[in-house]
Amino acid sequence: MVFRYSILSILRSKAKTALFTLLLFTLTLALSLGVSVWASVAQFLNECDEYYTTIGMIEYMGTSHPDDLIYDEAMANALSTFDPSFIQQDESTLFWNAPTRSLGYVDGFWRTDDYVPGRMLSVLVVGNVGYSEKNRVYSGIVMNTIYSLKSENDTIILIDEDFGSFEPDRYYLVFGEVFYGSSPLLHLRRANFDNAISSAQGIEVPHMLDITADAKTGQFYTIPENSIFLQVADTLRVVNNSLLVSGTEDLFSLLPFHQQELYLIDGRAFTEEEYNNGSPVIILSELVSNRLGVYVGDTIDLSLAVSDYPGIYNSYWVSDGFTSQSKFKIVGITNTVNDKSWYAFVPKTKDLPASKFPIGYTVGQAIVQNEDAAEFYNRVEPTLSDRFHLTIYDQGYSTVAIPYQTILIVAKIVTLVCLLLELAVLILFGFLFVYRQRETSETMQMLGAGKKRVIGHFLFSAGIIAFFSTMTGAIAAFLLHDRIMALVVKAADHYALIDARFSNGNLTTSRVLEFSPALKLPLFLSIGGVVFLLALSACLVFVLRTFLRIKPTRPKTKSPKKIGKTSRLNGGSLKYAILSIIRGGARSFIVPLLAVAIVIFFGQLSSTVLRYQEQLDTIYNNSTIQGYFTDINGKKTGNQVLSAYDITNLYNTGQVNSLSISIDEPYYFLGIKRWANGREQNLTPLFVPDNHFVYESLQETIQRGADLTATNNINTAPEFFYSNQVNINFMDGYDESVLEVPYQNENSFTCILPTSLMKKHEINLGDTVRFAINDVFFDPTYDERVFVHYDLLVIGSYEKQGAEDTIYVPLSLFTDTGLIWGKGQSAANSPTGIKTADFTLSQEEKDQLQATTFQSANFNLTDARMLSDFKNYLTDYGFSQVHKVGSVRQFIVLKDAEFNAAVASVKQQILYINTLYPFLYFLVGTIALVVSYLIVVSRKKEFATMRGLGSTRANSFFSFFFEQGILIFFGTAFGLMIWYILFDAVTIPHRILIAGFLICYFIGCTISIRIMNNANVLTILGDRD
Amino acid sequence: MKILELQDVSYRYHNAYQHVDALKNIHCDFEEGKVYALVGKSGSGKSTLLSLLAGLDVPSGGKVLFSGKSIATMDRAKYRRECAAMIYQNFRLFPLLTVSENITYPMELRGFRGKKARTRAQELVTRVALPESVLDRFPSMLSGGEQQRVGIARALSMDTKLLLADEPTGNLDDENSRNIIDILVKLAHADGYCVIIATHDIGILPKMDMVYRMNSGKLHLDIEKV
Repeated sequence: MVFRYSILSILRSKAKTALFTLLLFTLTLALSLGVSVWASVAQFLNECDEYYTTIGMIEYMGTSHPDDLIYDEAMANALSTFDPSFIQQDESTLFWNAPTRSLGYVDGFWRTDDYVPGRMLSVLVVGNVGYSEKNRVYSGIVMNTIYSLKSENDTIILIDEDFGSFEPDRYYLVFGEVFYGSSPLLHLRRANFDNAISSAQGIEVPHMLDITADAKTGQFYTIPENSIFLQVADTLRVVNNSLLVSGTEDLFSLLPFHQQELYLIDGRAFTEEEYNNGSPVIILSELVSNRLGVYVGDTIDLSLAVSDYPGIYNSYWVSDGFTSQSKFKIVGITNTVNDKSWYAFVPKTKDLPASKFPIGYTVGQAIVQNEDAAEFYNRVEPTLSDRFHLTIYDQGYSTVAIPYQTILIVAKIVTLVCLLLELAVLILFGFLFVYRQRETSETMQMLGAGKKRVIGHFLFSAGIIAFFSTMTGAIAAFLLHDRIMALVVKAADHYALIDARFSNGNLTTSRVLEFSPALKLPLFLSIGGVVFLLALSACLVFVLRTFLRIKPTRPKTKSPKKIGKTSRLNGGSLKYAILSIIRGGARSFIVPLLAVAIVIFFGQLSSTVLRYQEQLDTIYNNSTIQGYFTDINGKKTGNQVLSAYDITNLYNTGQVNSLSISIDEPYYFLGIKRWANGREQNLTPLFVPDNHFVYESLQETIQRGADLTATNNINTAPEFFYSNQVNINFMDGYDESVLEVPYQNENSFTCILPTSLMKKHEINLGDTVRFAINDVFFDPTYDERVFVHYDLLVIGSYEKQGAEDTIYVPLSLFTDTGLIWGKGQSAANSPTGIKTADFTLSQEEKDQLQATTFQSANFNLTDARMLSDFKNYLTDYGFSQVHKVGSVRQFIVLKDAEFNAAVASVKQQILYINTLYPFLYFLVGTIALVVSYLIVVSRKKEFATMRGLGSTRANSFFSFFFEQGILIFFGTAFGLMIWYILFDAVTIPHRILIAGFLICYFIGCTISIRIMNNANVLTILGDRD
Repeated sequence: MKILELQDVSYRYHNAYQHVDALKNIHCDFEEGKVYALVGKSGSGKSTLLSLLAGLDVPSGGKVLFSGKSIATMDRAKYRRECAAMIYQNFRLFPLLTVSENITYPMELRGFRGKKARTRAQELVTRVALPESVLDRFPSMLSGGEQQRVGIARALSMDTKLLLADEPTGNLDDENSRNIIDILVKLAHADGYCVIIATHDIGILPKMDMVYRMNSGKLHLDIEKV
């Protein structure tokens, strides 16, 4: 019976049933989709968190950076005051891994890579040495190769004449560098044995030793036992075949593993237990494994050597032996990478011998929480001392996750709005389906139906509608889920607020994790179920409320009203409107208060949007984005081969300024040409030697020397690129702008020398010094070929920051700056700006530029707003990004990570606002419509009485319309006044929103008054409720 | 035969500031076969008394006995379902149920349904002088007088001897009022119902067997027809 009557009541109120079925269906659909997007994206972000590891790598950007094996004294000094505890204690740091390094050796392993430290050093026995007068060189036969990577027995070898004095028919032990020069024969030249341990013991290694044997022995030569040559050979045998053993507390946070340059091809990583116990387990490269013939599960004897001297190759001297020797079990094999094939990894322990001195430039890696990487960077980077640098490697997490984080917030907003709407509709549902039928409830009770029956009746009827609509909504959401997720993926592209191309925030190898949610039907059904239960609860609450009304009505007590004066206003609708306002009491305050609240609310909303827009403008205006050319790993800033043509094209886009370029030429110091006091010295040029072997040696000597660096900006030259401490002492009348000046004449060149070089050669500011470079020309004065040389006026000195005595000279010394900056223009101050479309070079200029290379280049963006356009240009041109090679193999990095993070943060807020505000506007509009409607409808009897007394429709209309108009205008004006007093401005968006609110309010009034105007007066008057 | 007995019945409303004694120490009896009228000004306590008789509430003091048994100790929903039938000024018909369904509703509450209930509904509409054609109409399609007759028919369908009517003619014209009162009087006198009518309509008082006047919560016997 209960069910039958419930169904009847549904069927007999078709419109209402259909409306609410549709409403609940739609809202459940929207809510389910919102929740499903929320859940899917949240789950995906969790997966991202598991899948990606973000590390913050602290490096010292020394002048030889990124050499991974070097010992940099400046770094060692800086490290002595570097305390990583603030990184370890940072709230985003999960783990701080500072690996140790040491030299390792496993008997049987040999190296042939390009990184063997003394790859040319050899210990040989030579005999049959003769001297060629023509070539001024010795030639002999290698009788015995004691240690060499190059030489073999019984081969002819040429020996520099300055090596020593050889006699024919004698045999010699020799130590030196063996190489193939321009001739096909082996060449031996003098070399020093640089081993700090042996040097400290006062051991000097001679270049040659006559070991010709006594003829009585029947041997040609005898190698003395314990000969220093044998010790050198044994030492070289270990050092040149050594492993670099890294002790780590987290293998995968090491950059090569993190960047997947190295990965396990067999076995496993270290276990937590092995890390904790410092177990003797090791991971080797495939090359080491193959050469040793050992595999996962095998054990090797690993010797480790450390010493009191810096430099990985100063760790071992044969007579001192190894620091430790123990057995290590192989648990993993990595792939082989050329420059890391001899790297081995073990768990870091206290007992593991480790070099006291830094090897390479890595200070350590902090594993940071993925989502906090940007904040971590902002906190840590500013606190780092000069040349310490933090780079975030996130494996592409930010590129993948940030759009989804944005979507997650949007999904939450939309879901919560849907939930609120759903709750509102459910309340309305309960109200209309139950409370508005309270007489039915009361009658049923009076007829003795009992509360259970009454509850059953209403819950069943409402439940059928709610169940049907919520379940179909949930199922529809399940069916639409895949399409929505496809839209989410598209939206993720749209919400990629950070353009990571070319960014220093994207120096990482990207791993790809695809968004592939797999939500099941039960989830959707549970959402539908919850909505269904909420619907039933809403109905139940209203059913219970109907029970309260059945009791007799309690008497109301009212305070007597004060009797007012009779109005003297003229008749008409305005009079009634004014009287109604004046005598309306509390009622007359509702609308103005609503208007004041809405005006202030809209003011707040519009000012928030403007505030974010202003923040964005401030970021754009105050940001300088620097870009630089680098290598494929994004590490190098110098020693590159950059096309002058490509850089000129880049500069002429008009999108860059402050272009800084450097060109390096190794130099050879020839002497002081002229002292500051005017005294001159007659310096001859460096003549090209007649002897080919001497010429080759001289060329190599120059090539291995320090550089003469021509640049237009010393501050951004590779030596100082990562330093803020460039202290140059200029001679009076000179400053850094001398580097920018275009070519004038050969006597106009200046230079800035390192103080060390000045001290070494007793050079003073104002002296003119001569340097030769590795290029020759025929000098008719001497009728000989000579090396190109420059006479340079020393106008400044600086404290060098690396080992090299680099000399800085104006850029125009080595290149025609007019091709880039324009003829006669300074290399800094000329206007940037011929757009690519208008920019043309003659073929001759193109050829000239294409033949020119630079060793470093960096620049600033003209306008940070144009960042994306600039990146588009770089992409279209074909420039390469770190780990992403384009058609032009010139790698560019833009230092825009901080800028991007700041812009993305503000844009994200704007996006949220743009998502949320339409709902709020809609809500306020609806409130305006509903409130105006309810305010008018609540007085329908008054209205009907007015009409009943003979008022025309127009008169009745305007009476109410004027009243509402006066109230809303008064409230709005008051609200605006308050806002103006507080904030001194009413913005245009604010005014538009207020206008929209007023329009909605008046539409609501008009509709409700017209509805009442069209209704039957007697019906209104006869309506009890 | 005595069907209802009020023993020292009082009823008090409370709120945060005051209390109101709506009924004060009322003693009276109601018998089958008689028509009673309760008259009095608005707020005199008529509706409160009727609510207590209908089992919608229980007195603050005293007892209401139905056939000698206190209503307060009974299942009051069952009491309303089986003992006291109520007729209202505003009819209180289910708007979404047809006349037939409105009438059979109380029967079905008692488990009496199907064709028998429908036949009974037909009898009842005839008894209140309505044509059978109204059975399949909705209340909104009937006039006030017709709706009230349906209300009476529904009350009769409860098969109880106690009929309580709260201003049953309040929304009706004179002719319809007379007809309704005639029906109620006939039900009392011919069929032995105890009919208690709360009313302002003094025109119907001559047809009443007893008239009680309510004044400030007290009940006074005004007229008793011998």
